[in-house]
Amino acid sequence: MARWEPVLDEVMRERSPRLLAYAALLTGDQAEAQDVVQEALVRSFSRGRAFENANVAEAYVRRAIPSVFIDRLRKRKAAERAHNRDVAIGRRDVPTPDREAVLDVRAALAGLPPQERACTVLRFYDDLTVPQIAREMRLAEGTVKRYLADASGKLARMLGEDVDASVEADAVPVVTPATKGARK
Amino acid sequence: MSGLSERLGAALEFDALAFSGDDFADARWGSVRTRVRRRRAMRAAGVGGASALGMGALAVGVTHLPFASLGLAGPGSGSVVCTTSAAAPTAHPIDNSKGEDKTWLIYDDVTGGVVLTLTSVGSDLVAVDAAGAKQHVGPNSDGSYTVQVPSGGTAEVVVDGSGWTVDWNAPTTEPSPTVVCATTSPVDTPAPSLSSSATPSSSDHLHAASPFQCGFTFDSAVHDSDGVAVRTMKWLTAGEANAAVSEEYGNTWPTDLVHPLGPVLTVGIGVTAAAPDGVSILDNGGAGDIFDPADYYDRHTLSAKGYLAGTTVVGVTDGRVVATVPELNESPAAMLLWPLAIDNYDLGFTVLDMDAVLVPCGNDTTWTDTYVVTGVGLASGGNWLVDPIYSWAQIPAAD
Repeated sequence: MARWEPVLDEVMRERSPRLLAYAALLTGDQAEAQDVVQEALVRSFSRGRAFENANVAEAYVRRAIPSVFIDRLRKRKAAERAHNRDVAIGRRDVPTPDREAVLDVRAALAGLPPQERACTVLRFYDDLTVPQIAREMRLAEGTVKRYLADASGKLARMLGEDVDASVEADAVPVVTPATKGARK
Repeated sequence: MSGLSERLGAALEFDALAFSGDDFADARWGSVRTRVRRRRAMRAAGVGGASALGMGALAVGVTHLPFASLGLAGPGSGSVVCTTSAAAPTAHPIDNSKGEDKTWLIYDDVTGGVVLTLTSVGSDLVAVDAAGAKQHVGPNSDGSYTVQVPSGGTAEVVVDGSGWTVDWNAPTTEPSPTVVCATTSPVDTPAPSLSSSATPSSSDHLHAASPFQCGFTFDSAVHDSDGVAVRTMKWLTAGEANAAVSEEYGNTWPTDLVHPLGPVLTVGIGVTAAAPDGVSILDNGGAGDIFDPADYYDRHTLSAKGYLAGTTVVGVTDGRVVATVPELNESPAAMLLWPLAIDNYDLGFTVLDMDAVLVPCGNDTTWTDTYVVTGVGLASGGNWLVDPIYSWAQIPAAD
């Protein structure tokens, strides 16, 4: 058995629940999350690295997940799907915040177009800056800001909260100005 | 946004509780390990790297090749014609994610199509493939069933009260067709009816010669079509390759790989061809192999939409193909295809021993040059949506 195989086994058996949950935030779909994690595992372990332990390997796999997800998006006519979902969201009737109805942040995330969802997770869960997200997603910083701005507006309507996508001084706050505290 | 970070964190923690790592590992471990093994072996053998010879910029501008005049069977002249027997499609991982009652569907993990429908009949198992062919399988001594997966390998099926468990055993080598070459007499050779298009039309692709075939004549050392290109060719010395693989596998050389004694060649292919809807043809799923996509298509009844991509090496003398790779070696393999995207290449292969893989077309047992050839097309419902297009590049001599 190659040296990496026990590490792979440990990551898949013991670390995959969190990896799958993270991928599910991005994909909004558990089945797709499994595919994404599988591909991230293949990519990470194929690079020839000698992972010292499962912690290191898990970190690499986790880092690969957004990249895999984004690649899959691009391959699946992401623009079309995003447009279609955007239209659907545009029709959603959420005139006033109803916390009871939309408290499920996962449902709110799932209602976002994939690119906006990815930006939101990378920003608000991974705590990445706009430039970091832009590099991760191979997008222009302005595009990332737009995605975050659009997403924040929709999340604000769905979650009934003020949403501020501003992450830096030059970011464009949207909806209701409110400074986001540092994520713990 | 106040609370969003916390909510996302909480959602993740909550969701993580719902996932079973063991279930995920049990379902995906085999597929992940197989793909990682292959990729690591390829990387160890020299895939990628800064010293790769970039070939993408060497296009010669030949967009239309006169297949009729460059091909094999000119009227009144004897020639060597190679026919390829039916081969199993390139092995894909399978996914046994759906089932109910006594029936279980196994999906191709790449194309998403149903590979097998398994039905429990008494103490036996009946497996029906996409073409309707049935396997009636009795239980093994341990109560499991072993069924042949049409796309390659076998599946070990366990049926118990709690459900079905299907483990795919990947083939150790790519499934390969058998190529039979025969010299045709001038009398028997039909007059060609081909157009002079580099991309055979849907009506003539059955007979079009291609750079994959014996007798094809190259009019240039490099031909870079718009849509598919030989992007990288890299030689490693045997010592470098051995060291790289040993670094990965330790002192035990993998038993399924030929131990190279001479230079090792690795080739990366890039596919940029677009489907009529403007999306990359690769987005439609498909198969990669060492065969001419047109020939591969002819030998299989492919109803699903998908790309067919091929790449291989050929031996060449005076610009004419005199040796081909009729099949991939049995284990240990001297040539390895990597149909998965690696290092931004869409297809590629590594040749651990060139002499072991090239087979003369006829009596010429030596050749002066070697070429990489590649082709890709998009098929659907028995027609070509994108006719096969081809590129090639002469392989530079190893240092």
